[in-house]
Amino acid sequence: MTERSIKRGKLVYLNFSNGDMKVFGGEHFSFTLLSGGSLIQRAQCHIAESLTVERDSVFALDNNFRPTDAYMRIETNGSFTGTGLYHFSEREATCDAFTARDGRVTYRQSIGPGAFPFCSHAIVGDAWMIAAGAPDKDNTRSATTLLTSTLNKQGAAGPALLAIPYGIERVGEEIITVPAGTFETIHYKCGTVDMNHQLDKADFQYNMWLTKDDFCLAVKSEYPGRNRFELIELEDN
Amino acid sequence: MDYSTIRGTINYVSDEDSDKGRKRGYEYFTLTLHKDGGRVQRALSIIEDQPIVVRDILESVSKDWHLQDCYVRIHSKKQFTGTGWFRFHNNLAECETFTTTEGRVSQYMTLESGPVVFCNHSIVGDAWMMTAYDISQGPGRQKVEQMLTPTLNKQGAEGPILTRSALGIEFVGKETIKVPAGIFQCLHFKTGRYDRNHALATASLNYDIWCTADSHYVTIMSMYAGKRRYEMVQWQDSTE
Repeated sequence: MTERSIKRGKLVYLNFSNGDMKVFGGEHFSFTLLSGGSLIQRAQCHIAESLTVERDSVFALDNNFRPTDAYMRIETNGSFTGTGLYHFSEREATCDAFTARDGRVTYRQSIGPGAFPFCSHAIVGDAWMIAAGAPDKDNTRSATTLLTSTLNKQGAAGPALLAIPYGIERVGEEIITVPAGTFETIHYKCGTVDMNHQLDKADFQYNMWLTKDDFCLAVKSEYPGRNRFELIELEDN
Repeated sequence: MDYSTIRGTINYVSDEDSDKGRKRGYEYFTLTLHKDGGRVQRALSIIEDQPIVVRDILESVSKDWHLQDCYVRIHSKKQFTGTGWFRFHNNLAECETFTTTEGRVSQYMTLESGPVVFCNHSIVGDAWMMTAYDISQGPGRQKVEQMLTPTLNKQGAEGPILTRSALGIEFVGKETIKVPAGIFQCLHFKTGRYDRNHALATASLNYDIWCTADSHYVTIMSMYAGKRRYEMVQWQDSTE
């Protein structure tokens, strides 16, 4: 493996709610794969709906796909919303944040060993979230605890630190073509779960296709009939 | 859109006689100018020479260039070095950091009145420090008593830990500069750390910066003459 491998690219956010296709945002990202196997991703996300969102995130994983640290900065409707740093030690996740709504806050959450999913709300972050919590076998589901910066679907609040029950299904390998090219992927479905009900009956509406390589890059994701997010540019150094 | 964007790439090259022009690293950056006048800088800096540094920066300033916050993540010598979050408000600088050397550290520093700049060690960040010079005074030297930085290491390869120093800035004048990305009207500055116990007039300001002569202060070229040079090789501007 080389000392560093870098990928840069762009995703487009598409909306199909009213029958026709409308671009409602996009995401510039870069990945660095370091020689020890650890990964860093940066994402600059822009959403232009009734609420506009500018969200920056940096997110790092160790060579076992366990989150080590993250950073987030959010603006909504052109105003500062919040900024925060996440650190994941062996036993604890912490978030030091300053938000326009809550002021200076520190969050702490106990965590166990091994990989766990963290939601930074970038689409490339969703991909790592799924890869960290997914089962290994096709057509199987697993339940996990998801750490997230906010429950707001657009990632337009916080940053804070919240833990929610989450389910991920590995559908299987698929070859996907998007504007950036054709990719060998693994298809997953996921969504929040109610721990009082059976995992196999949970309604997973979010579909995601990840590259079948060390980067686990988001090639496409969608809420069918509503929103689709797809890779339109990819530069490989 | 609520902001306009400048994206680009700066190459780090040797300026030494023995290997002049050798590429020794690069920096991808994105600068956004927001509707309220605030700015955000994102920089991924890679130094290919030893100790091999991968540095991430995300810094924001208000419309009058006052520091708001900065994120720094450093990977050097093939391993994680540290990650930190800096926040600046009223007369206080705060740093929450985790480094392999110091562990988990919280820092608070009271700031005095007067200009404060942050040396985050990205090349695009260097030009943002030049905004502390009062250009209406014309060419000359001015000092910034409060230069905060995540490390005094020249390559930004340590920390991040909140550290304080002083900066001298000399405004040389306006110049036209040609780099691989094009020809730019620039402000030429010389700068460097200086000892507050000695006169600014005799301080050695050996780092030259040429930044755009507009409201954006984007580094077009900088150099330690005869040692290292940094020059814009790609430029994409949606602010015009």
